Amino acid sequence: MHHPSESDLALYAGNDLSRLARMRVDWHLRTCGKCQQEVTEFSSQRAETLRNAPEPEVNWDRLAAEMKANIRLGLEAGECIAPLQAPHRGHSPWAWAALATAALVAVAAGGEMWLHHPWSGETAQQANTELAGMPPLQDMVLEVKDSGIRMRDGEAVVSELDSNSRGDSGDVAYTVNAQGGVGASYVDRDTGMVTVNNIYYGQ
Amino acid sequence: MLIAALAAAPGVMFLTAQERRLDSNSIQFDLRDDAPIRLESMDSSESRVTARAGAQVIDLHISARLRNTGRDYIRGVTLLLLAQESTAGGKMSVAAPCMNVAPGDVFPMRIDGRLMRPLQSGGGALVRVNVDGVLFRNYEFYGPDKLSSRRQMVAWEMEADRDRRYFKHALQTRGAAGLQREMLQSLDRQANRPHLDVQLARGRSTTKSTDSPDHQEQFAFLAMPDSPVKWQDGWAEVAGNEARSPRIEVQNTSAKLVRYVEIAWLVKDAQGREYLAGSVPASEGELYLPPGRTARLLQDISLRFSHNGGQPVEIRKMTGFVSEVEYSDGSLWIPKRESLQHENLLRILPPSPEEQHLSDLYRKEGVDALIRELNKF
Repeated sequence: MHHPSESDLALYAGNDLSRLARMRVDWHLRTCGKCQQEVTEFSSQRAETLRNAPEPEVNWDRLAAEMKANIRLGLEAGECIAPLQAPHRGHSPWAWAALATAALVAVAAGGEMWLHHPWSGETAQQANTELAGMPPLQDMVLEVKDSGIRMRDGEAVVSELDSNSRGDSGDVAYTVNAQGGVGASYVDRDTGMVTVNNIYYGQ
Repeated sequence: MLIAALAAAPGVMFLTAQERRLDSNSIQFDLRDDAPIRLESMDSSESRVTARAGAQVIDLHISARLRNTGRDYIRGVTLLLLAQESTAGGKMSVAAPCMNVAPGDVFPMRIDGRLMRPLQSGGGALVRVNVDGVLFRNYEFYGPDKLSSRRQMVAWEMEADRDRRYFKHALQTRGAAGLQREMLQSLDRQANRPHLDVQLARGRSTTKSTDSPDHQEQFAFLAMPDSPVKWQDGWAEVAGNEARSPRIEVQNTSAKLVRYVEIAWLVKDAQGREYLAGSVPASEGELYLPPGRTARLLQDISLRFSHNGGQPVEIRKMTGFVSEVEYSDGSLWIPKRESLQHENLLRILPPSPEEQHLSDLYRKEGVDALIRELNKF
């Protein structure tokens, strides 16, 4: 019997194989106890590693959003300067110097966020959050109440469904999924159809 | 000059909150050519968008009419609504289970909810509506399934089938009066089902408190007689009305490979009232459970419980049972209605979407309409 490679089994356990390769391994595992055992071990090791990880997992989406916000900040700074320099564009070395400085500021700000320096982190993070207009994901709370389901950041409601406006009061069934989602199921007043709405964390 | 420019840049963030009607071009239905549904019409005139600080708050109220362009009856549709994929509040879904739409027929879908996206997130539509999944009568599925809609819709369809059988059996054995009695009991359960207000936070306490938990509370376990997965052990950290980080060990006692397990989580308060707190699923794509093996489900979350407008519900006891299992071939197991009834769980669990549909039909149109509906299947 031809067994899949150890690396394929490890990737399979982490759900990182391509669809086709996954199907191939799936097929093999139906009949091979030895490989099943290996995949189980890889899965356990992976779960154990995640559980024991000393550092919190990097939130790449948030990091990307912060980087984008910094770049945007730099570009906006450049745009603010540009109209003042417009009559001289292409002639004055000062215009180029100002734009270059703005670009450098953007790159530097991005670099700072990337490195997470504690002295600059909070201020830059705050500015970025405001610029991006979106509260950080980890501050969010999902909520199920009599009146509906919502995602909120402090008192600010980010995402919401007021179920009572759509279904008859008392007939809304709510669900909470510990993986990060809340739902409301009701018979819609207009369509007469059962409708299930779900709100999720970002991912 | 540079400092002045940098100071001016954030000015764009402090826009006065302005509400405006959302024009229909701001909502885009992205339906692929091979999709088995087609958008016939859409009314989004009640939708609004408001600029707040650096974000757009989009209040959606859409009435859409879609046509089944496939070759079989549609049983369910899940739409994914995206204002911004990677940020909080940018994503929601709307699903319509319990449908029975013939090929060529048009059906309505109502979309309500609030989404948020950064003010400066480029041009184009503010909200994109995609099909995440369509389930047909023969259990064939279409869609990218980013939200695991296939599993959810198959489970709804299996519950629908289970509950229709139950009510048809009541009709056959006890007549219209027996069916009527079942419906009245169902409506009574729905009206009096004890429910909690729940706050869910990921990876931390719901209140940002750093208090250590009071204790680790062990789950009691309810065994469903025919469940292919057995409970071995389970606990969560408990502090007052907050439970954190549930860990549950299960064993596959079936002969098939299992790739998903979901546990229903019940809590009991000091007065002995029992509530459904939520469900603890295996993390998506992370479970691999061959026959005979054990695995641990863990979710790094906090749940805080209250009722009657914010009164804390102190957790005195926790109970769990296996509520859903998916095998590697895509087939599912759900508990039998008799098992739920036997364990007195029907009064705690929410009704299935089909039971909601049937009891609503009974309430609005009476027992004859209900019998006609049941006889369609």
